[in-house]
Amino acid sequence: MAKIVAVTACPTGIAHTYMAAESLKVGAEKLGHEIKVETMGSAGSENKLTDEDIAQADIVIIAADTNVNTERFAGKPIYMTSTGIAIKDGVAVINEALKKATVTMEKEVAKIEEMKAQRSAQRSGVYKHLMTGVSYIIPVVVAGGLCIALSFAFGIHAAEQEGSLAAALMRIGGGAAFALMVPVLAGYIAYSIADRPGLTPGLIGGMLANQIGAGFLGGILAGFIAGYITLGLKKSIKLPKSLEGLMPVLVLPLLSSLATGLLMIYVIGTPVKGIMDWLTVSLNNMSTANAAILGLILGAMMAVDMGGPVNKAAYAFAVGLLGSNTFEPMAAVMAAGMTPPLGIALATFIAKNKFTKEEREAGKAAAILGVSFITEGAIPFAAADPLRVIPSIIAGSAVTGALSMFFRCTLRAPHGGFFVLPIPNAVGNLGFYIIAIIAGTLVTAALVSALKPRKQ
Amino acid sequence: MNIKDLLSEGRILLDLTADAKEDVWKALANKMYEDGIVADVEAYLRDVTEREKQGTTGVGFGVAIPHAKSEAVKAAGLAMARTTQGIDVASLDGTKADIFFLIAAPKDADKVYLQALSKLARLLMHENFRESLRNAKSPRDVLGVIEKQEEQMS
Repeated sequence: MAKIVAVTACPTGIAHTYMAAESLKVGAEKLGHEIKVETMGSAGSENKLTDEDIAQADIVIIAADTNVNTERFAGKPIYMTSTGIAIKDGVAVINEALKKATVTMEKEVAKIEEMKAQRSAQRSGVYKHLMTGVSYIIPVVVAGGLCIALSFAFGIHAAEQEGSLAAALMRIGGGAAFALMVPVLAGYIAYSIADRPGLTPGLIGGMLANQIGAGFLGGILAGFIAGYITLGLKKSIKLPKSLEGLMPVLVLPLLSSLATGLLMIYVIGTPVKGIMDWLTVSLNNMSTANAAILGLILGAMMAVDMGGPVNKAAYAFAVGLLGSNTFEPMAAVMAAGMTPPLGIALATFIAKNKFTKEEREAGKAAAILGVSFITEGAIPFAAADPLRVIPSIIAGSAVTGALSMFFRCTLRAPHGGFFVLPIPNAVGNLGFYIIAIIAGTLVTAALVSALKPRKQ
Repeated sequence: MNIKDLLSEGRILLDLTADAKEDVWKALANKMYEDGIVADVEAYLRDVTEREKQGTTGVGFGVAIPHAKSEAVKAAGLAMARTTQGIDVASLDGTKADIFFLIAAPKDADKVYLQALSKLARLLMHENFRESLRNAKSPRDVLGVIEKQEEQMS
C-alpha cells in the first residue's frame, strides 16, 4: 500500500477540480492505496495538504490544467497529468504515477530550474526591482570580468602596451563593459518600477553615479529614484489627448532625467561616494582576521535561505563591489554558494545508508547544481529535513567564505561555478580557492552524515 | 450543505423527451419558477446560456451540470432531469447527456453555488451512483439515491 498526496486544479476551479479529486480517490480506494487530495478551486484550497502529509507521502500526483507551484514537494517523486485524464480513469493514473513518478537526476535538475523561475516570479516590491537590475548586469559583468582576466593572461602589465591584444581585451572589459555596469543596474531597476519610461532616467542616473564615484550603491539609489519619480510623473501629468504622444518621447524623459540627475549631483552623489570610498578602502585594507569574519558572514548568508532574499543580498553586495575593483567578496560568495549542494551530494555518497534511493539520485543532481553555483540545489534536502540540513550547510558555507577571504582569493566574474576556474586569471589564488571550496564541502558532508538518522 | 436539500420531488423530471439541451433547461427552469426559486425564467436562462458560452458544462459520463448565478434567482435551488435519449451537450468525453442537474443561485450566493457544484461533481464520479440514478423508478427513488451517496461520502 502506497501513501499518495495529490493536488487538483483547473482554470475555472469548479467541476473538473472536484471530479478529478474524486476520481483519484475512487481509484486509490480500488487499488488499496491511501490518498489525500487537495482541491485548488475558486473557493480556495480545500483539504489542504499539511507538511506532515507531504513528508509521509510516497508520491505526489498533480492533476491540473493550470500552473501549480511544486516548491513544497521538493525532493518528492512527482507525477503530472491533466484533470481530464484523471477524471477519465483514476485507477490508470494512479498505477501510472506509481510506476513513473521517480526521482531522476535530470528531472531533479529541471525541477530546481523551474522552482528558481517560480521563486523569481513571486518576488515583489523593492526586492523584485533590485533583483531585476542585478539579473541584467550579471551577463555584462561576466563578459567584462572575463575579458579583463584574459587580458592578464598576457602578463599583468601587458595591457599597458598600446595596440596589443591585451590592451584591446582590457578596453572591452574594463573600459566598456564595467563602465556600463552601474548605468545598466540603475536603468533596469527603474525599468522594473516604471516600465519603459523608467529606463532613460535610470541609465542617466546610473551614469552620473559612475562619474561621481558613488559606485553600485549610488547606482541602486539612482535606479529607485528614477523609477519612482517616473512612476509619479506618469500618474500626475495629464496632457490633452492631442498632445499625449509627447509624453513618452519628450515630457517623461526630460522631466524624469532632470529630476533624477539633479538629485544625484546636488544631493545624493557626494555622501554616497563617501560611503562607497569608505567601504572599498576598508574592504581593501582589512586585517586578515576581519576579512575572514566578513567571509564567514557572507558565506552563512549564502546558505541560510539557499537563493532567497538573504542569499541574494550577499550576492548583490559582492557583484556591486566588482564595479569598484574589489574582488574578494565575490570569490567568497560564489564559493559559499556552491558548497551547500556539493556538501549534501557528498553526504549522499559517503553515508549511503542514511538516504533513500530517491535521495541518492537527487544527490547526483545536487552535485551538478553545486558545480554550476546554483545554491537552490540544496533545497529538496533542506525542505525534507530543515533542522539537520540547514545548520550543516550554513556551517560549511561559513567555513568556505571565511577561508576564501582569509586566503585573499579573488574572482572577477559573478557567476559560472567551477567552469570559470580554468579561465586564466579569473580567480586569484586558485589553489587555495579550491581548498576553501573543498573544506566547506567536507564540513557540510560530515555534519549532514553525522546528524541524519539511519534509514531502515 | 446537502444536494438532497436543494432538490425536491417536484423538481425531478424523469423520462423527459427533448431534442436539445435548451429544451431541458427550459423545462427545469419552469419547475423552479413554480417553486418560487426563479423569478424570471427568460432572464435566468439568458445567464445560463452566457455561462455555457464560457465553456461546456457537459462534464462527461452522460451528465451535464448547467448552472448560473443570476439576478433572476430568489433562492438557491436545484432541479434534475433524466431524458429518454442522449442529448448533445458538447461534453468533454464526447458522450451525450441523459442526466441534467440545473443549478440556480442568487448573484451574491457564491458559497452555496460553489458547494453545490463541487459536491455534484464529486457525487457524479461514482459509477454506481450514476447507475442508480439511471435505474431510479421515481423522483422519490432519486432523492433516496442521492441521500445514500451523500451519507457514504461524508
